[in-house]
Order: sequence, then structure tokens, then C-alpha cells
Amino acid sequence: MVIDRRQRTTTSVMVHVMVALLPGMVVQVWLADWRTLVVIGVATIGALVTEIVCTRSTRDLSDGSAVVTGLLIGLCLPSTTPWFACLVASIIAIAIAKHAFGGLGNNVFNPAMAGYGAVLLAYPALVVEFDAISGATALEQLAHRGSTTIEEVSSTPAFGAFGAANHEWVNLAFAFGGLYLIAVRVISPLVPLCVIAGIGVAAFMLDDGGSSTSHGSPMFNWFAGGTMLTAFFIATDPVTSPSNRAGIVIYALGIGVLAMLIRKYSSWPDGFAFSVLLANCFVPLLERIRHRQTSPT
Amino acid sequence: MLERLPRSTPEFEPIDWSKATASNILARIKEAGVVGMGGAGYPAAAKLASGRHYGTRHVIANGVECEPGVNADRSLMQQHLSHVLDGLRIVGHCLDCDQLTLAVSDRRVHQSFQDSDFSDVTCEMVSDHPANGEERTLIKTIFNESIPSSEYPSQRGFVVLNVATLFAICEAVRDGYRPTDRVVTVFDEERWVELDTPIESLAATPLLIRHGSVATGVMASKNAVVKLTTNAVAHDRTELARACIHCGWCDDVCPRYLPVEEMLRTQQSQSRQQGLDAYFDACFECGACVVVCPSTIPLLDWIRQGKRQTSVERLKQRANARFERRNARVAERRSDETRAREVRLHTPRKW
Repeated sequence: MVIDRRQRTTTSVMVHVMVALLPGMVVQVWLADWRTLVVIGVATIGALVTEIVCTRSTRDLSDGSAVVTGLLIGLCLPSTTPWFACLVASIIAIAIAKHAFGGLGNNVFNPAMAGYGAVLLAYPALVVEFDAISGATALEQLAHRGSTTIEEVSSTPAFGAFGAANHEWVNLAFAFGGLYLIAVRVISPLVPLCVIAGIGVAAFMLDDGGSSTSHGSPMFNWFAGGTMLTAFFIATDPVTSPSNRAGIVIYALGIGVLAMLIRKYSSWPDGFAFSVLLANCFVPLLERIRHRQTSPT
Repeated sequence: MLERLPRSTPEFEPIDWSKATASNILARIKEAGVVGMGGAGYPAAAKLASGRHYGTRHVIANGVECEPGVNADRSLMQQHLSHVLDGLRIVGHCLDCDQLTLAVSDRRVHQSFQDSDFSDVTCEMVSDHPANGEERTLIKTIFNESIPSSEYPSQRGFVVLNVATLFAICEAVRDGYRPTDRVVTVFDEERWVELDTPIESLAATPLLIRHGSVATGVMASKNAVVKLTTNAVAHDRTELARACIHCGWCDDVCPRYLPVEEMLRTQQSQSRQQGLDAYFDACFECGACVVVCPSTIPLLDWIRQGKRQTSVERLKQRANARFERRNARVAERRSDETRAREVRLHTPRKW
């Protein structure tokens, strides 16, 4: 295995990302149902076809970025999503979020999150997540629970041992894959750490011990929804994150805090799609930090 | 073992260097035309003369070969380590300096040095970070002394010579040969190549060729030949380049902490921002960024282009300033003359 960055190409970086996504994907398919595979497959094939149409060649397919975008969309969407919604998500991701901005490297918004976010807004009823086993997910129940306390709501089967039922294991598996990416030096630990810290701090400050307005402990929020997938695989996208260290810290903390605020104060159960897109808006601003920071030696 | 064409009879009288005077040795090095074979091509005799002038504390043989895929110095050391060390001793004798250091980055060379007994030379093992081969970085790494970019290392008592240069010095002084060939990495394979061999004749393929390593070489022109400073010939990879994905690895690896990515961005978009000139000047072209770039972007080509623009801009500004000074001077002189004429006009004639 090559840990030396000298041997890396864009393609091998993307292959490492795909390998790191595997454990999470397996656990998700295992705990949900076979339809997850259909969702992932449709999103990936849709992304590939859109990439070919947009570039009118197959040359750029070999860098693997379209496959990763498709995989991430498929992993974000629940298994009950109809196939056309998956297709719309991946077409918007590749055609509008990526190629309309000038292709790989020039996109302002994270393609996967742009596609997923567009589908969230366009078909809210179709992509609301229902677990096959427990009905509505834990985040869903927290968002629309009326005036029940945390204690009452968490006795429902949507809540697991330390996070949301099923999702805690999916999150753990994604975190495991993310640690692999850090170990092979594809991503730096800074972004996931700051995202996790951001959501942890926000959850801790909003947690008032379990009244009807609180939104769960940091532990619960770390292992519910798409926290780990976002922290390790989506926020770490190099193209749509700042390239200086101070900017990265602000960007990643912002994603965590914004996601937590959306979870608590909006009717969306999980806020990562919108928090990542919002943070992307600030990247050009954060890129300007460097000028004042370093001086040539 | 690399194959080397048999050499003809020595051109010069061999010198018994341990008894010879420094000026004799210097004259011989100058006569043989030895230049820095690490790439800079600085005349070795001039460097040694400057070392004698300022007084030398350390002579360092630079065998830290860290350009990617270049092994010319490594194979030279494996084959002719004693020649290289003799060259180092000759330089040490010439500069009255007994602190001789051989810096290597290759484990095997380090091992073979330790196996043989050279008590007069210390061998330093440094990492093969792409910047370590540069002499100031090397001095900083081994002796922890920084040399400002306004001074030569020889002004601070350090003389750094490439191992191939030392080999050439040894052959010129001890054996009386002018350097006529050198080890070159030709497409990942080391061999002795006669100087002035056309680079085109080395390649069997019609691909574009770089004169130098993959990372730091420049595009070879049609009639380029192998020179004393040619350590490698490589295939060009510009065709493979993809778009920058802003991974920031170039910024991470840069030994001068330059914002490489930003420099590339301004250079590619032709929208040069103010305040970046100093960054372009500070780059010493180690090629580390090219090596780590996952999109195989020829970053150094862009940076070199930026450097050229910087220097052209600077020349323009200098010329402009000169022109304006001249105009001011002319205007002043003209007004002086006018004033004098006025005075003459209004002074009443004496007669």
C-alpha cells in the first residue's frame, strides 16, 4: 500500500475514498434493505452518464470523481427513494453543480450535497426517511415530536444504544472508513475533528437535560443521521473547502454548528446538506485569509 | 556496473595532490573546465577560489539526490565512491579544511560507506525530502545554520559540491582527464553518456522530452545536447495533467512555505495579483510540489513562467524609472539654459 503522497494521482485518491466508503455501505445495506443497493446503483450510473454527456468524452471518467459523487448521493438518500429522484439528484450534482461551474476543481458547491439538497427541496415527501423496522427515524421523531421530553421520545424503538437505531452502526462504520483515509494520508484529520467538535459543542450548549425543547446529547447527535459521512467524506472534499488552515477550521466548525442549528430549529430532520452548502458559500471569503497570514521566508 | 567507454590517454600531467599547492590544483580544475554538475553549472574553480578567500570550515559532498526518478549520483557513488572521496580530499586540501562531510540520502550508499573505513570523512544521512538537495537547505539540515539568500554559502564558511563534480575534480587533478562524459538517468535507467550527445538520439520514442528530471526539468529544445549539468532526461507528463482539485498538498510540501496553489491559480487565470512577486522569487525550484501533485500538473512550468514575468515587469519598471529621471534631467537642463538666455537678453550691453 502506498502511503507516500509522491505516488498519488487523482484516480488513486478517489479509489481510496471508494474503499473507505465500503464498510459504511455494507452496514447500511445490511441494516436497511436491498433497495439501498438500487438507490446507490441508480445514483452512480446517473452520475457516470451525466459526466459523459457533459464532457462529451470518456477521458474524465477515469479520475473517479463522478463515481464518488454518485456513491455519496446514493448513501445520503434513504432506501425508499424512487429511482427518478435518485436520477434527478445525480444529474443536478454533475451537470449543474459541477460542469456548469467549469468541471472538476472549479465547482463552488459540493456536487453530492447540491444534488441531494435539490432533491430534498423538490420532493420532500419522497425522501423523508422511514426505517423499514422502526418507522420514522430518531431525528425525524425529534423534529416533529410536539411537547414530549427527550426521555419519553427516546423510549421509542427509533433510538438505539448510544445514537439513532441502526444509524449508530452505519455512523461507526463510516467513521472507521474515515480513519482509514486519515491513515493513508488522503485527508487530514483537521476537517472531521472540527466538524465533530462543532456539532458536539453546539449540541452540548443546546442540551438542557432533556426538556421538550432540547435536542439530545452530543453523543446522540454524533451517531445519528449523516454526521460521520459528512465529517469524513463530504466536508473533506478538497475542491469546495478552503486551502489554508485557519479557513479550514472555521469552515468545518461552521458545518457542524450550522447542522446542529438546522436539526434543532428547522423542520428538516438532518441539516448536513444545507450546512455544507452554506459553508461552501463562505469558502471564497475564507480563501482570503492567507494573504495576511504568511509572508515569504 | 555501468558501462563506460574506455578513456584515451590523459590530457594533462597527473598531479600528486597531497604535495601540490592550492594554486596549482585550482589552475588544473580551471583548465579542465569542471563546473557544478548538480545542475547549476557554477565553475568549480571560482567556487573554490571564493572558499579560499572567505576561509572554509566545512566542505560538503552533496550526494543527496532527491529529484524523483533520478539515480545518477547514487549509481556514481556505488561505483566510484573512492574517487568521489578523493575529490573531496583534494578540495579539502586545497581549502585547508579538514572537516569533510559526505551527505547522502540513500541507505545503501550509507551502508557501503560505513562498511569501508574512511576515518577522515563523516557521512551524514538525510531524508530524501525533495528540498534537501538544495545546498542551503542541506546546510540547515546538517549544521543547523541558515544562510540568507543574499549570501553565498562560501561567505559563511561552507563549500558544497555535488558528488559528480568531485568525481570530475578527482579525475582532472589526480589522473589528468578533462570531463568528457557523465552518468545520466536516461528514462529511468542510468548510464554513462558522452557530452554533446544529442538528446534526441537518446530517445527511441517521439514523445516530448524534458531536459532534467520529470519534476524539475525544462522542455528540451530540438537540438539540445547532454551537458555537464544534465543529470537526467525524462519523458514529459504535461499530457496527463488534470484540473487542480485544490488538495493543498503542494502547499503542505513546499520547503519555503509558499502558497503554491494560489500562485498556480493566478498564473493560470492570467490575473496576477499584487504582492505575489516575492513568493515567485522565493521559489528555488526543488520540484517537491510537482512530485506530490495528484493531478500531475506541471506546477514548476507555471511558476517559472511567473518568475519570468516578474523579472520582465521589474526590468520594465526600472527602464521606466530611468526614462523619467532622464526626462526630468533634460527638462532641468533646458530650463537652466533658458534662464541663462533670459539673463543674457536682459543684461545691458557694456558698449
